[in-house]
Amino acid sequence: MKFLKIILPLLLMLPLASNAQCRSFTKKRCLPQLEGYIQNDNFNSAVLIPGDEAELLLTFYAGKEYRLLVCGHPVLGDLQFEVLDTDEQLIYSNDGKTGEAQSSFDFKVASTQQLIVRIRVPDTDSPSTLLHEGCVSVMVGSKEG
Amino acid sequence: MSTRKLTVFTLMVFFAMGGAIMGCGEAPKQAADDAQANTEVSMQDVEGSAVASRKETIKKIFYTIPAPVEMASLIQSTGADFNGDNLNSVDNVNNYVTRKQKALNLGVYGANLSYATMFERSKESLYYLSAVRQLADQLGASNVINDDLITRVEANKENKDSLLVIVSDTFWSLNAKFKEDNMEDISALVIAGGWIEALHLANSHVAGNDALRTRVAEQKYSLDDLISLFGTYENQENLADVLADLNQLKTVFDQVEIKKGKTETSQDESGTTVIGGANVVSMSDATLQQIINTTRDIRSRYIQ
Repeated sequence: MKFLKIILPLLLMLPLASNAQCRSFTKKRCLPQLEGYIQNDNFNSAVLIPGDEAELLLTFYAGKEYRLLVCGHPVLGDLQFEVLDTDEQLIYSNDGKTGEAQSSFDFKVASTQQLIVRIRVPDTDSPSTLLHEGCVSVMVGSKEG
Repeated sequence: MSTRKLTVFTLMVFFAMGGAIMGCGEAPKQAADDAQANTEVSMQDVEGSAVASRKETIKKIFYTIPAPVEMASLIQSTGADFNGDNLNSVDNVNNYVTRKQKALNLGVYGANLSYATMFERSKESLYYLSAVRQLADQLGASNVINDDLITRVEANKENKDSLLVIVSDTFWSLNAKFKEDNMEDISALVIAGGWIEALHLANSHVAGNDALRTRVAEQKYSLDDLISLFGTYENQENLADVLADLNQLKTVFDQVEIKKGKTETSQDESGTTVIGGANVVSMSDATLQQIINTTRDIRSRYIQ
């Protein structure tokens, strides 16, 4: 058990440092989904596991069209994400509350906004003690509105 | 704990370590990518503190700072004209000796490259790409800007849209490369250098341009994001001075007024969601002048 107490936290942290795993996946599987948009330069990718949650505060500028893409490895299932304003009022959810389940949200911005993006990797239904981990990338593309 | 589970853990540590070690280059085949991009771990007996720590770490990973190309686009969309006098001369590229100087000016030249490309100045774009390549090479990212990429740029030099995609993809790859090589501090410095230069460029066009003035004031949001990003790298000596500069700029941006409003959503004729309403941002002439002066002072130190 002592071994586990030491190794498990290390094991949990290690995937987050494994950016190498995600770069190639993101470039080949996610970047093409931003075709027609200029993506921002940020490399926002991490290896996540079922039950993980992430939250970002993003700024979107007036007069632009945006595509927000939450791109995950299929092994993680359908990632859930929501877009909220800073008062936590729901603007978009990909779980069907505000539209069909999708991995991206296209929108126009009439006045500059700060929006919260909340992402959740669904829990697994598997009774197995083994859980998958996979790459999740959050990407923003923009073009003139 | 059974021997079987221990074996699984041992294998997983090996697998994860292997992934980290092998990750310096791109996997040549899709199958290899997929194998790298998903593995299996056992979550049984996970300690609560480790889970909490993981959540904190995830928070630190996902940050988004506007790219210089976005600011260049904002500048152009307000009707401003290109002014090469505002850029950092490519002749300065050999003046940068330390890794910190190289990283900051990689960001600065990246912003100059975005600006020149946005205004369809192909000759200047190629000069700045050359400076970017030199600094990227010296920082250990020589495989990102290679001869193939230069050939693509030259082939597309009259096609602004293609060039902008190439530029943004290149800086995305640089950002990824630095992070995967555990050079997060370099990545942060490149982002900061690019953001300061982009703000400087916006400032240089702001006189008499109300739309751009508003965009400059709205950089208060981005500055907060940038400071938060730097705050995640505690005890990084390379970043301390730059963080102090950003905090100095924040004291000025704190004078920018934000009137809180309600977000409104609607749909346009094509069915696309339109988000409006929300906050109104404004600042006095004195605050704008302080932003211009403080940005210029910081930028001058970075590019000298």
